[in-house]
Amino acid sequence: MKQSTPNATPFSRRNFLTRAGALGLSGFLAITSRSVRASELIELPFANGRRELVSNFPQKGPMILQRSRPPLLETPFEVFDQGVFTPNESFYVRWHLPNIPTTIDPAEFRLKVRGGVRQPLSLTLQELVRDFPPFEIAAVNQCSGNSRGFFSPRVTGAQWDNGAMGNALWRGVRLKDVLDRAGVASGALQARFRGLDTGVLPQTPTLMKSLAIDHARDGEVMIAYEMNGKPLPLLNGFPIRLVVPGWYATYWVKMLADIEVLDKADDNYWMSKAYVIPDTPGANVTPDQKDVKMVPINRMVPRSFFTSLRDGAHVRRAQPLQLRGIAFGGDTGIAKVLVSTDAGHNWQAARLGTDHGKYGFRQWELPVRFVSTGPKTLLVKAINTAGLAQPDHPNWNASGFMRNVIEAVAVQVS
Amino acid sequence: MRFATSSAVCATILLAVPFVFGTRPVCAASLPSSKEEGAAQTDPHWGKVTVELPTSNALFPGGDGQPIANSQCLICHSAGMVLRQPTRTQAQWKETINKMRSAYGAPIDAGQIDTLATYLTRVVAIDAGGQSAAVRQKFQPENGKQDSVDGAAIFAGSCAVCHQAAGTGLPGVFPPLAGSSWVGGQDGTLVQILLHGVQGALTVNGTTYNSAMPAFGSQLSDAQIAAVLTYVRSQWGNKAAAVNPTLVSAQRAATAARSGPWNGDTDLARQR
Repeated sequence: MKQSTPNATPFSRRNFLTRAGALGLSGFLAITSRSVRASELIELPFANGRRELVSNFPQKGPMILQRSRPPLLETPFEVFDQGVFTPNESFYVRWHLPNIPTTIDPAEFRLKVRGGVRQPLSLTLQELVRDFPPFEIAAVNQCSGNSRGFFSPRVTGAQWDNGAMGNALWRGVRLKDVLDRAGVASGALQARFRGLDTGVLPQTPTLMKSLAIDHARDGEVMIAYEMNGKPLPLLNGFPIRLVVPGWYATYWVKMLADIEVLDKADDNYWMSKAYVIPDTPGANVTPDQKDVKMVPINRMVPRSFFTSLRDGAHVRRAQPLQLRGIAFGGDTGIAKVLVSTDAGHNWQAARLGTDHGKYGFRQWELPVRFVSTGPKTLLVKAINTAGLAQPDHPNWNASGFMRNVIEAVAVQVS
Repeated sequence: MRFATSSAVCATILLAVPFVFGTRPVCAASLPSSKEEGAAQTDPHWGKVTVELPTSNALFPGGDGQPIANSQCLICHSAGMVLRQPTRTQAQWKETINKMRSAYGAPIDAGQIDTLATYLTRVVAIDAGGQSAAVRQKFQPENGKQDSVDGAAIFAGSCAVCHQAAGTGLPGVFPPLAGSSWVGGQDGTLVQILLHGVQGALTVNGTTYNSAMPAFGSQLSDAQIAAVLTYVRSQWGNKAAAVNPTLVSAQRAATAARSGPWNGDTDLARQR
């Protein structure tokens, strides 16, 4: 975790250039300058996987179109090979409700803090920047249903490949500091968060998510006004969004406009009916399992991926090959990343890249050389600092949440 | 990389140049164009951002349940994700339809559930080629602009979702076009509603509605806006004059600087 000194000028040019350089903007230019025709068709690796690759969403480069309205846009997986920070222009997009404001005037925008507080607040963006110490953290934002298309048996929902995730350097203020300014009343149990998006029909429940008050005040949950050194793209929550490091993205409320401190557990639709998981290890059940206790989805689990080559790649025998990928530990850091080039009989530890903090992507590399020809199965497995390893077998639940099985790619050596 | 609007481009460009706290960014494209945008901007982060979101023109494919799907499902979401589901049983589709009704308020009648579930079971089923029937038979691009100048076709693709095929609207949610005094009123005002959309309270034939109408100015050409308005003004008992594309061009030019929707009765009543 990286923390800024409280007296740093938030938006000095030096600051911006330093951070922009650290994030490898040149890599980002290389990706987005690639010319992509409108509505190029691609096939995701599961049945009914045909999708358009589109470039007509605002502030976004080429994205895999899952749905136009409300937008579901997936990051093309090649982007993850470019570095550990996912460019804003490529960062995935997931909205639930179709009335998304298309004009945000920061001069008019207010963040309200109300409910069980001693002093309700209505903060301008200038006040957020000026009156609270800045805070920075690198953290992975991953959709609860990332990789849902691989569930077997298949389940309904957005049929994502592995690109409903991204890692950014988030800058803003600690939620704790804002709540402390308002003064949380005794008896507070949860803080509930609401953005500016709404449904079309009056009966559609507005998206609201809640965190336990101690979690909200842990000093890591934050309100971000910058993402990778720039304002958030509107579709990623401009002007501010909640950042809940280590937790699934359903809690990272976009266009955050309202915080309500509650003295009882929130039972609104989005907490009690949607985004609930079986209360079992890895949220894993069998399709016919009955009477399972369900709980709100919460902490992420470790994952790792190959980024330097994809399934079906051809490689040459005896030639040195640098395998490369990314990993993250879920709700804590990466301890090690293990790679197998023989379908899991033998495992080697990969070299880990720069540590940008326990909640972010970590790049891994491993030099290999194949001595024999033929089909090979490569596996990659992450183990986090709490000792939790990716499982050998995929989990299953009816919502298609929390997939984190060991990833495999098949390559042909010739 | 591509930005849909000039102001979004401007907000980004500003980040690349030295910025001095307290000065107003010089950015012609996003300079306030009217008095309501006159609040001081003191930081590129706090510049007003306006974007346009692409919509989808994809319709559900033919079959018994098509009219239900096109008029009810598309109210809240485009077709793309539905048509790209795995193969599901009729019972599973009924479960989803019932969730849409009970959890989200989808106005699907109980008597329509079986028809819709049977239809979705068929059109989404994945065939031997590995795609759903709907996607394989005729790939429906989820994205893109319309190019038809057939007013009835544009109405079916872009308007009927909310205003319904017979122009009746949806009671309490979307206003009717049949017999609407707005439809029969000033053609210039109607053009403005299509160009920029509407937000806030709008009174139609004595009933006040609060649903937002999207802007179609970037999706539809002048000829298309004229065609669909001419269609609406001649249907369901409406008998108002045709709308000429040159009027649409003039109206578009007159409000070219506008970036947000009209504020319901407040902005539009005086134009009637």
